[in-house]
Amino acid sequence: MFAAAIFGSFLLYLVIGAVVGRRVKDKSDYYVAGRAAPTFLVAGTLVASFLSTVSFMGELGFSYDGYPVVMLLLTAFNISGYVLGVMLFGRYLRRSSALTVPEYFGKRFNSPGLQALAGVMVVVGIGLYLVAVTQGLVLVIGQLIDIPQWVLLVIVWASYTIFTFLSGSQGVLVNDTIMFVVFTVAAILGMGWIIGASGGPVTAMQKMAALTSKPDGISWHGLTGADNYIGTPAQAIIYAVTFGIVWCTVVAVSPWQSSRFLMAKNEHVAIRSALFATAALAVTYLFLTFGGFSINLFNDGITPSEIAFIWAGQNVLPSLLGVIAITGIVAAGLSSAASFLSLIGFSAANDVMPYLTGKRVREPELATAAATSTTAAAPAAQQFASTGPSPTSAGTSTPGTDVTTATGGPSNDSTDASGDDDIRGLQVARWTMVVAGLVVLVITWVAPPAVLTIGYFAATLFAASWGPIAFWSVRSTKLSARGAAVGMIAGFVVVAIFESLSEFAGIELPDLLNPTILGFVASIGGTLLGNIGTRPSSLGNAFRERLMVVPEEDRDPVKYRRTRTWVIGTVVILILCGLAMLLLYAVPYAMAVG
Amino acid sequence: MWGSIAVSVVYAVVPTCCVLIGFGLIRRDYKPSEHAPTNSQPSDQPNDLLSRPSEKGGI
Repeated sequence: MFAAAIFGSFLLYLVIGAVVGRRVKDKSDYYVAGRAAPTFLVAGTLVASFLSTVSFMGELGFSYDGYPVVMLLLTAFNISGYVLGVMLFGRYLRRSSALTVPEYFGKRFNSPGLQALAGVMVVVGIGLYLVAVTQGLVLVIGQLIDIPQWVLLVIVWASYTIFTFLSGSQGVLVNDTIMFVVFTVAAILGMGWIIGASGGPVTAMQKMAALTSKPDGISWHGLTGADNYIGTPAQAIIYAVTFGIVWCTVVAVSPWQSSRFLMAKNEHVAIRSALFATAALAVTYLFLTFGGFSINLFNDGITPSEIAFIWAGQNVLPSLLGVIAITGIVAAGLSSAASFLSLIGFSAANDVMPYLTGKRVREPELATAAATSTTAAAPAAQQFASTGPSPTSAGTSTPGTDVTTATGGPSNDSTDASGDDDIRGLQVARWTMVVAGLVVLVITWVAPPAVLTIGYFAATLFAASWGPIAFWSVRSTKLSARGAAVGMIAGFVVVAIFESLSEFAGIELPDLLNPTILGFVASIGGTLLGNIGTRPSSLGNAFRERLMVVPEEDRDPVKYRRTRTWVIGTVVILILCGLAMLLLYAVPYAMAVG
Repeated sequence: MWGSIAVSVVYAVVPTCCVLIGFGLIRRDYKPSEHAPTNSQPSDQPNDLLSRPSEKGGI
């Protein structure tokens, strides 16, 4: 029955991909869903791209191992990244009308080289994350169906690759939202049932507090001691806050989250989607973490812990709920995999290949010099404003834009670079995606399974290398392309080296010198050093100046009032979550431990 | 015991504060009565040129 449900859902997703793919007419449709998505679809894809097998297997397994409250402390910081992200970066990204996040960096700093660099980081970083998600999917299905792992790997890979090839962002948007509903229902009903079967939240909490095999598992710091993952309560706080801030930054600026705002119909839609995601994840994680640990009440020896939810689906939940739960885990993995593969393909085709093939080689200094000699910064901005929409769509280039195009200014949109041939660009994007997917397939084949480790490693890479630059690019006019590039490379390399040493060579760093913090410091320091002796591009700054202006359509009183209602609703839900924790966790736990 | 209460409070307070900070920015930038452009730096460009709605695929 589980196998039938999983393969049935694979088939359903492929049908959706084929149907939606028929509506894809140009690169805008394929990359950013025509920039016309409503709140529910953007929110659905935000959550679906975030929750993957890393959450339903890695993080749930972490909770099962004895760290549900540490996971929730991390989540408190993590989900805060949605609103901060959309207000401090996402809405400006949307205003840039870029097709990808690296393209935003390229335009902001008037540097195709920086765009290509950021594109390479997307390909490598998200490629790693996709490996982790694919491993998780194979692990899930491998628990249910007795066929060789390589066959499963090929089936899983082919499913999300064909789906993404056909439908691009349009399909990802629709499918993500369907999957969001499926796995949210799976998490809440599945975990809710397990807690209910343990006697209800209060009784279950008291039983968990008395669990002898994992003492302190439900305490605020989880299991500590030399034999455990976390040594002391202080380390638990450092772990939760550090990774909370990392994930907060990831949620705010990572390509698989911030790029969703490029699809939003308007800025209010982007903001409301971020609010929705904040509230949805606050509720979902309560169920995932406490529910994950409560599986110990039925079996405290599941190995590896990453399959705890699957075990519960097969052995604890009623059949129908078990099928929904496992289909939900697969849905979460597939939706993230499709999003990640699409982002890898988009960046390879839009950001990296044009640079490598020389189709869009421009010297930023030349561009800046030309701009400086012909026009000052403000008039340059006026050019962008007065020339109307730049040639993102094929054939819309105007004489006005030619000035900036000739000098390599930001309005020389990347879609234009491939000879304004949108259809051809679409094919290039699709086939580049297949090639990138094949590389991921090979790596997944040879890499040992480590869902949580690889997932967190990839997330840390983006947080450290992109985080400071993304916020800085919006706030500062003094940042040059070289400064941004050095900062990105420094953050990326430092995290990659120290995480590798820590994970694979067993070198232990002091708590406050973990690779993430070192990466942030390296990125900020590298940016400052790289900026010395350079002049920021005047065209890049003019582009930034235009991003500072709120579109007139978003100053609508009706839209503002509706967004305000969303803010109030989100705050109410967050306060209710805190109250639920107090009444259903803190008080029963205090009573149980005396 | 106090640790579990503290985490419960933090779970609600941290994201709520961020949502309220976000709302402050929303009020500043989108509230209808404040129609001034929100340039973080002074600009001498006319608003009608700057305040165009975003269009599909365009800059």
